[in-house]
Amino acid sequence: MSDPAFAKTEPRPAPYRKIAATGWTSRLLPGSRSEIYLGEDHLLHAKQIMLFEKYRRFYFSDIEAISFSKSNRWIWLSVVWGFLLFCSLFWYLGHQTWCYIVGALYCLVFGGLLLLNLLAGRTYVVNIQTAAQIRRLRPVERENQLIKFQQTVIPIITQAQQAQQPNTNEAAV
Amino acid sequence: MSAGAFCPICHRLLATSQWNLPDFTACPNCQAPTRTLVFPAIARTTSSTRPAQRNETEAGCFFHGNSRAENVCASCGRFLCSLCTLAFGTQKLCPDCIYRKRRQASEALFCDQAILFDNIALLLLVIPVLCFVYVYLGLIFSAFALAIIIIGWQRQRPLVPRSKYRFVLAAALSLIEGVGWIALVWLVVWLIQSHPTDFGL
Repeated sequence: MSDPAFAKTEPRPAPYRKIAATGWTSRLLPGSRSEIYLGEDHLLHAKQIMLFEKYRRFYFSDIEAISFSKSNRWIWLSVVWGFLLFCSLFWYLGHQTWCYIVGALYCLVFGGLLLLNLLAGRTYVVNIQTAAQIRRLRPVERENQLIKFQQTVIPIITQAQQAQQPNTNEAAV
Repeated sequence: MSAGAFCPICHRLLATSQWNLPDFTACPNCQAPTRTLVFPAIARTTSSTRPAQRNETEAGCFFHGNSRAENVCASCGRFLCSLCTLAFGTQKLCPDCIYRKRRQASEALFCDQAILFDNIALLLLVIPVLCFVYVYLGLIFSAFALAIIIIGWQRQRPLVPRSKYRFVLAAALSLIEGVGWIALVWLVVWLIQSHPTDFGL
């Protein structure tokens, strides 16, 4: 019988719950897909870099600040999708059935992207800060996601740090 | 105490008067509307002082014999001074244990990356088709991808839940590409044999 001390231990899958992820368009660009998971005592930021998945942990007791700034990225994206939608209308100048079909397809794609962009809400740049690292959280850079993220995470962080405060005071005494 | 909170756009330090405000305020440097939620951890003091010297009656650190032991490593049980104690989650560990555990990847807590074998297999199947290398080396690439699928099915252990559908997709693609390549070669050979004059033979 083999010694259990030398037995190869299989890593157990940690109980993580996904709370935010970048949009489906990020799947098309390598390195832009990232997700945020809620762990027992930490947040896990998983970033896919084509063949690897990199993990960063932010323990609730260590999070110092979450800061976010309004960004104009959503306006520029709307301008781009709107311009492409306008350009796709030129297909209707060719008075042929196949031109109408191609034009309709382009309108559907760019119109859909414009609509999705507007529905997702305005964009922010969100950073999370601990004593050791400052990381940008791309999965929560849309308004709806950011509100949901704040509602989920901030009470947990506050609770974790309040629970820790009496211990630190005892240590200081 | 930590240096403070930073603006996400310009990465400059924000004034403490801007912390935990209900509305957005302009960053003093870049004027971007910014809101900062600061938590009590920012006020935590970090020990930057030298570890205390030990007396003759006190236990010393495993790594620094002259320093007083203040903690015990949760993994190996070595005595550690304040300099050698590394808080990793709720555990206090020595640098040796952290290094060893990260290399072994035996615990999920120390895993900081995972290899995505399913993505590697898919890449091996898609790239040759796009680069037209498939015509010459299609069978080799599909066999290689199939081997990666078989190895990766057991070895791929991401921390977060990940569906196996990519493996199934890659396996189906590798079989299609492999059979397709054999059929292509058979077709070329059959064409050459049936119409040798057309090929200058």
